[in-house]
Amino acid sequence: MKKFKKVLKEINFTFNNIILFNSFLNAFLIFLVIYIILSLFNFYQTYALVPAALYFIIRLYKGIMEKHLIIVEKKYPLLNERLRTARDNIRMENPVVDSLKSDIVRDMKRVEVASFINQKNVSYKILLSIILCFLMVFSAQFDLSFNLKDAANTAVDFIYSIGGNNTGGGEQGLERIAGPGVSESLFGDAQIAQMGNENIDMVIKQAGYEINLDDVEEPERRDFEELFPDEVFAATADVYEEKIQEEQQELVKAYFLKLAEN
Amino acid sequence: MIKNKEMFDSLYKEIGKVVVGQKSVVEQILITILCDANALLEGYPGLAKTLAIRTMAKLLDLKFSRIQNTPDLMPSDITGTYIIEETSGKRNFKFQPGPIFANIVLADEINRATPKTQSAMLEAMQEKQVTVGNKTFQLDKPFFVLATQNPIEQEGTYPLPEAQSDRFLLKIRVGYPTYDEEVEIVDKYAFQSIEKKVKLIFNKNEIMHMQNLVRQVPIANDLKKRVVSIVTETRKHPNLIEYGASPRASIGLVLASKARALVKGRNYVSKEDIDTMAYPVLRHRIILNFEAERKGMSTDDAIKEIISKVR
Repeated sequence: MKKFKKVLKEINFTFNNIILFNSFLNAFLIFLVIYIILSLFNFYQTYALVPAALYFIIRLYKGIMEKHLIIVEKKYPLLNERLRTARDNIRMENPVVDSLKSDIVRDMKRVEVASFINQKNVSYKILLSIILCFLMVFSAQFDLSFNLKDAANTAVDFIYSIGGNNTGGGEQGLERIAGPGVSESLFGDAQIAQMGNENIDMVIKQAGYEINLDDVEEPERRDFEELFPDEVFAATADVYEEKIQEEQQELVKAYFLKLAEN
Repeated sequence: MIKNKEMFDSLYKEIGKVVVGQKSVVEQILITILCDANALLEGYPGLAKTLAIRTMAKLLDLKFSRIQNTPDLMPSDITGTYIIEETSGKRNFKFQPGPIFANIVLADEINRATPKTQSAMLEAMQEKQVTVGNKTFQLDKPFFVLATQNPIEQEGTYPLPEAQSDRFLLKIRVGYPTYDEEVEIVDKYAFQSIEKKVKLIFNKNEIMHMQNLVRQVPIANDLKKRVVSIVTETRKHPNLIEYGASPRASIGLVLASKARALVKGRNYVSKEDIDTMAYPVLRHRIILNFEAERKGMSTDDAIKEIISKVR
């Protein structure tokens, strides 16, 4: 029965369109959200395409593989079990199957495509995507971004500033603020600090790059002899001297000129 | 389909004039007839088993015969035998058909007959033919055997072997009527003795046409798989069932579900048809083990558990 086959095709086509639209809308939202996050933290924004594209492909595949007839049957109990039965027996032709198919074709007229779209949900998603688009434009205009490195430095400075107020606490204060790991590099060894007035014989080797201006002497003057050659000439290397007959030289010259022109 | 439904409704209405209640029994008998199969009715005496079958035969314009099974019943009493007939001075052997030569045969208390007699009847059920001597006689179409069994008084009975009970499509359990139904029965039969007249609903050709239609009813692939899952599941519960159902049960369940769909006026099989028909189809095909019996479980309880496990 051609009409029934047409109905099945229409169901599949409609559902594929709905799935395509929903997948695209969701993927677009994912892209926008990730794009904004990446741009706010000064990362490469094009990377936002990767999760969005992945989501789109997976969702589309799953959606297409879904059993559309069961969705229709669930939404319309009138068609429950009938659609599946007729689909499974599509090649069978007898009075009972034919009557089932014609009943379905008749009842399918009551099925509305809109009933399979969650309008509220789609509206919210579209609204959200518009808001995100505006957010993107504004963030670009005002160059809103957070440099993670700066933020980290600021955070460290902030911790130091708190630590500065508490250093009066002596050794414990240092330990608390700088922590045991950083004390060596920033404040030196705590054991040395405890030495008090004891003298230590130590030699500090010069390893710096600082220049003592006092050690810089005037440059030594030197006289150079002025010996210039009487004649300057150039000779081509032997390799370039091809033994071309004089009458053919013009021809070769013309050939290379032509090549140069091209 | 609507026309068929109307016809079945009028059949219920007509049979309701004689048999009070027992709608599911009548429906299952009808399903058996539509499947061109045989049924085993089990119930206590006096529950209108015979009356329902006899009335059904009248409604369907079918030749009805009744065999009261007893231990001394011989196979020839059922199939018929050759008798000597004298015509114009010559003696000839003439075949005298037995009660099996009918469209609907009611074999009352089949478990009272000896295994030899039982097997004669079961052969006729399966092959739709009877062999007497060296001659084979085809039985008239349609042909159904509706056998009854009494669950009490098991003394002196010969229970049907599993292999033979498997040949019955359905085992119909006839229950007691409700209180109101029983009051109606009393009103109907305690004060009048007039035989109720019922009108003909189907003829033989229409029945055979319906039998053809049953096989044409489509079934979805997932429901077909459900049928097979239910039947195979009966073989996977050794803690509950000693012997599960055979593939014949799968065929029977699909066929019975198709017939039920047609009786209900549908042109497709639904899950409900399968779940409903699983009980009469499997009831006599599974044997519970000792543990299940010790717990007081019935075969219907086991089937219910199996159905709940199959999604």
